[in-house]
Amino acid sequence: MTQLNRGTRGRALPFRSLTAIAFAFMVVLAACGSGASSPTATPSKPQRGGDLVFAHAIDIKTLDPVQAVETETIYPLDMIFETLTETSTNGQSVVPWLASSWDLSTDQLTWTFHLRAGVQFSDGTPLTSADVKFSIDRNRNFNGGFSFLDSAIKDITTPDPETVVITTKYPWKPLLADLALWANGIYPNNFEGKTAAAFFNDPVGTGPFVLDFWNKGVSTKMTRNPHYWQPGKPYLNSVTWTFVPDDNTRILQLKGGQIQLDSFPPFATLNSLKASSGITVQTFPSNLVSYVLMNEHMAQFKDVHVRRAIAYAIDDAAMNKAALYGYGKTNCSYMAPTLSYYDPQTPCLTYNLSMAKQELAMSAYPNGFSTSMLIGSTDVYQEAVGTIVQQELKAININVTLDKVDPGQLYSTLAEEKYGLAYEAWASDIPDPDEQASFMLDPVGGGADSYSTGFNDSQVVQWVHQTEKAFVESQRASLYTQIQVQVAQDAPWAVLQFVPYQYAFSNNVHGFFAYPTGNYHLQDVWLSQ
Amino acid sequence: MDRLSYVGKRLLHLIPILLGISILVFLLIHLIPGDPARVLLGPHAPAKVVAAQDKAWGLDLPLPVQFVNFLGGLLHGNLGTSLTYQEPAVTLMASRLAATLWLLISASILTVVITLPLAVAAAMRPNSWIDHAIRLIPLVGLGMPAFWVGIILLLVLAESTGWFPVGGFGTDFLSHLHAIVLPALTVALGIAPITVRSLRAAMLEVLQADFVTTARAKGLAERRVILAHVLRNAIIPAITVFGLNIGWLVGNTLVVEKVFALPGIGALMLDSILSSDFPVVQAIALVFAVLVVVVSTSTDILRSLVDPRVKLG
Amino acid sequence: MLEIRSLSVHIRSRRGVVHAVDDVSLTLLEGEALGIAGESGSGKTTLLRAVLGLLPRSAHVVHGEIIFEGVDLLAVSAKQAREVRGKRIGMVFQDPMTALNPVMPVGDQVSEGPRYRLGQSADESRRTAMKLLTEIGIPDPARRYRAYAHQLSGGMRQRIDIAIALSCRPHLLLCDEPTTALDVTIQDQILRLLKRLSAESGLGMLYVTHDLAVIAQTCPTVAVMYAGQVVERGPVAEVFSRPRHPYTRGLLASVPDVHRIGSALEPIQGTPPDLHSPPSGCRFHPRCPLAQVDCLDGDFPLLSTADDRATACIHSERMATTPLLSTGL
Ligand SMILES: Nc1ncnc2c1ncn2[C@@H]1O[C@H](COP(=O)(O)OP(=O)(O)OP(=O)(O)O)[C@@H](O)[C@H]1O
Ligand SMILES: [Mg+2]
Repeated sequence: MTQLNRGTRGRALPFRSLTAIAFAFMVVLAACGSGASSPTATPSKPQRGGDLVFAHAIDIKTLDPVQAVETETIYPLDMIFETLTETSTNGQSVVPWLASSWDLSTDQLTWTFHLRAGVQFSDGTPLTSADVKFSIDRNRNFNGGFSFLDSAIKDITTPDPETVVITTKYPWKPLLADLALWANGIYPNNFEGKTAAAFFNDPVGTGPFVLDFWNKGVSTKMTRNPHYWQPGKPYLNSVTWTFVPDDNTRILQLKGGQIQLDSFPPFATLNSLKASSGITVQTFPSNLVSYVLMNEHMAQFKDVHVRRAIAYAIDDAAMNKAALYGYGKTNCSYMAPTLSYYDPQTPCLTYNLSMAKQELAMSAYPNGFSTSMLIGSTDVYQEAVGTIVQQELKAININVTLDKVDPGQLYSTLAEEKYGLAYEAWASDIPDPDEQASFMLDPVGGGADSYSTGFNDSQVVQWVHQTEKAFVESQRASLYTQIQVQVAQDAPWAVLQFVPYQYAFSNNVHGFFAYPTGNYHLQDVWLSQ
Repeated sequence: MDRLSYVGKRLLHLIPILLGISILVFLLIHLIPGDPARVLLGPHAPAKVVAAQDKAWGLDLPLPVQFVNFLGGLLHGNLGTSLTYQEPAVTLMASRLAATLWLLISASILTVVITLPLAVAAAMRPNSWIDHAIRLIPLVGLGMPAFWVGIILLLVLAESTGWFPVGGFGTDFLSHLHAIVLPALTVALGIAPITVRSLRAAMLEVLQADFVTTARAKGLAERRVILAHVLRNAIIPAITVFGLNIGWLVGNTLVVEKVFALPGIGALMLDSILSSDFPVVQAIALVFAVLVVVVSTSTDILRSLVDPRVKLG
Repeated sequence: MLEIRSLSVHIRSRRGVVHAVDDVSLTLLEGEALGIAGESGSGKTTLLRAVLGLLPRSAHVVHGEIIFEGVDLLAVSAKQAREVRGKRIGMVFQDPMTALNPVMPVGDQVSEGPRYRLGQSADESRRTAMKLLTEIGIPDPARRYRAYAHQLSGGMRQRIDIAIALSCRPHLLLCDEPTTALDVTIQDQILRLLKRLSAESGLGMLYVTHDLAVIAQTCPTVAVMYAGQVVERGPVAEVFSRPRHPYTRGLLASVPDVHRIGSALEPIQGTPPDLHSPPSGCRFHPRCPLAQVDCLDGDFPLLSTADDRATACIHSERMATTPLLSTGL
């Protein structure tokens, strides 16, 4: 439940009409100069050196992993602090990272982690188990943030400098995935005697880069960590994240060579960007899925037939074309296809007007009703989604008024469950479907009243709890299949699209890859001359 | 009243204005819905997590208590700590002030540089083609939103030619200067149509004045007549018009800051409003109030410098 | 030194063409002062401005010559015409309230001519201006130098105006009703000043006013204008005591005179003509008590007589016998 900033603060989904017009204009003006892009023959061997400039639409807010909640803040600080485990490339499992291996006791309560040999912090001091204990204890004792993901942990001990033992209160399968969370990043024990504030102004981590300066609201520069444990890495001399809020300006900076990487160019601009010479556009599968939530604290949406009717009435394929320029994918399951145990066979309540009418006829509201839909006021994309939903629901006599509010009010209204319909999007932060399942489906255990919808299917909740204790893969997989099927039937929300992460970069940037969880490993990135 | 004591008086007036504005802003931001902890943590964060964050920020106290605390801080010049950045709001804001001031000042200078020759050329040959052209061209500019003009300038003068950086603020005086040209030009192009028109109209009126005939009767060169006599009189209403448009100028500045990625007040303000970062919103509101008073005082002073008939008071 | 030959000036207005100055001829000898009298709208200011070459944009000279010191000012280039202004011809304007730049210290306005026209340094020109201010009787000139127009009285402003007109030592001074806006005492001071200046420096002067008494006090010679034309000319004493044009007589009769307390004023009947379409023939005929059929058409040039006088009236011999108020037609 990272703040993805999609549609609320800055990282909006793509449909900003003015941006699109401005961009179209730029393309026309630039048309004379640019031919079709001919991908430069990729030199096979990574080159060392170079300075990468990476533009974000949102400023970095903190370098303290425990406090970080926005993606634009998390990804850069990920380059300073590393975790015991790390998300695998496909986002479905973890790989050893600061821990090179681990064992699980037979009662499935005690995890013993063996720290990677020879890892040093950027100031040259070796990584020890005390650092790990201090860091993870700090996160799980933190009041707020993402400490809830550590709530299964009972105790952490350090039998020797190379070994960390984590005991859980109950068997807890998602632990390895939870430990890959940035908030469980490792820093030196006791902040090397400094206060937290002083430490995070001049932080020390095991990651590939070291903070050079953080000029708030302008740019953040990191240089190569000479003590990094991966031999030969990072390739880059430095990375600078600049804060460039305007979409068009970032694109122009990329074209002008002032930056090499543009995060999240609007989807509307991707096709023309692809045609520009010297620029590569790449989309990466993400954990992000968008929904229309239905508030079951309202009588109409308590009725499963109403919810199913709405899910049938929304043409998500057409919406994908209109609002996402076809870059999204329609999805049946509430889960993103990138997550493990995603079941492509999940039955779909895909667009079908006669089924929608049939469902509504079976409900307590056969003649329709009036309701409102909550959308953010700062994002044209949400407005487009709202308008499409409004029109499509007219076909089954449900009158929707759009309720556009500022982010602050939007969040409170959602949290207080004072809405009828609402647009929302969500991405899992860990390489395990558990975070999403408990958040969206377990009204009490997840702590969020099932994604603020009040959805409560005791059978589903029970299955979710079973997955957390299921250590046999096949058993977990079949539980998740059952969950996905049942949630599709219950339709607590209409699933809209599965949305990728989009990046544009100069052709001389190599090895850039965004994980489904959104983070990236800049130690693997290199620049060709 | 002499100018110094006038400035003193205006600054004294500033104190109650600032106090009033802080109280107003305090009430406004606390009365509109939107909890900063909720904004920071997202809509679905568990209520107890949000409550804990609120408590950490002192937002769990009753509003009157918060208000008294706020006033107490205010009297000590302390506007509080930014919730999102965990840094004193004043420090945060001050660090962003430089770029905004650079932009405002250079935009004002450029406006003058653009306005003077165009208005003079137009007024010296009223209703000639040159006059019509000068009056028409900026009209087109006025119809275009600032961010458009900014993008076009970036595209033509930065991205394709490399003459100017594509946004950014630079690190030292020279690079600031280099970086500020296009954004300042964008702001100036937005306001120039208004100033050109008002200065042209004022000049045409002054050209009819008897004292211009007196000046011409001395046999002075036309240049001297225009500069020393016509312009100095016509500039007075133009200064007033410029002063009246300062709010608009500041508004445009915010848009332009975004387009040119200038680390000014604008981005900080949008961000802190959206994230309900109260102390920062407070600090910025106060700075804007000071800015408006400073500008209007300077306009008054400027008018009194140009026009001896103006009485300050 | 100045000879105006059949000068006509037209002014374009919204309603058509104004025949503001119509076939005017005048001669001014070296160092002479010539008064030009006439009602409001008779074209006096336009005439002076034509001499100075500063007609409004909408006005243009239709024909005529203005020979000044041997050169036709209408035939020279704009640059040469500008050379003449200020340095050789100075002008004092009608309204001292508006003739000064409100935002420039008056002293600077006086020194501007010497500085930019005579090539004096800033200091020199300042000294020249100070001397002028003293000369024209400004008390405490050092302080007044820095003053702005709105801080000075009307008489003081008019003195400054005169100082400006004199600042480049012209040979000819054009005065456009310089005292109309002033009270009588101040008016008297200004007139004495002008008289003294012209006497001291041999300054030629064209003095325009509708106030006959002022002319009587200032100029030996007078020309009377009506509807853009000069209708009578001659030595002041003779013209005023024995006018030869009914208009002159009318003007004189409409002036209050302390020596004739009790006798009613006799204003001229009717209103001045609209110069967009002036009456044919003698322009005064619609208002003239002597008018005859032969006044209705033709030209009425100023005809000189041997006694150095001239009149445009063809019935001047009947002046003595006809009452003022009855009209002939
Ligand atoms: N700019 C102008 N446009 C149109 N008509 C004008 C203009 N200036 C003067 N006139 C007309 O030309 C005629 C002569 O005007 P002028 O100012 O020369 O008269 P005057 O004798 O100086 O009058 P006054 O005693 O009022 O100053 C008048 O009928 C006047 O209305
Ligand atoms: Mg006049």
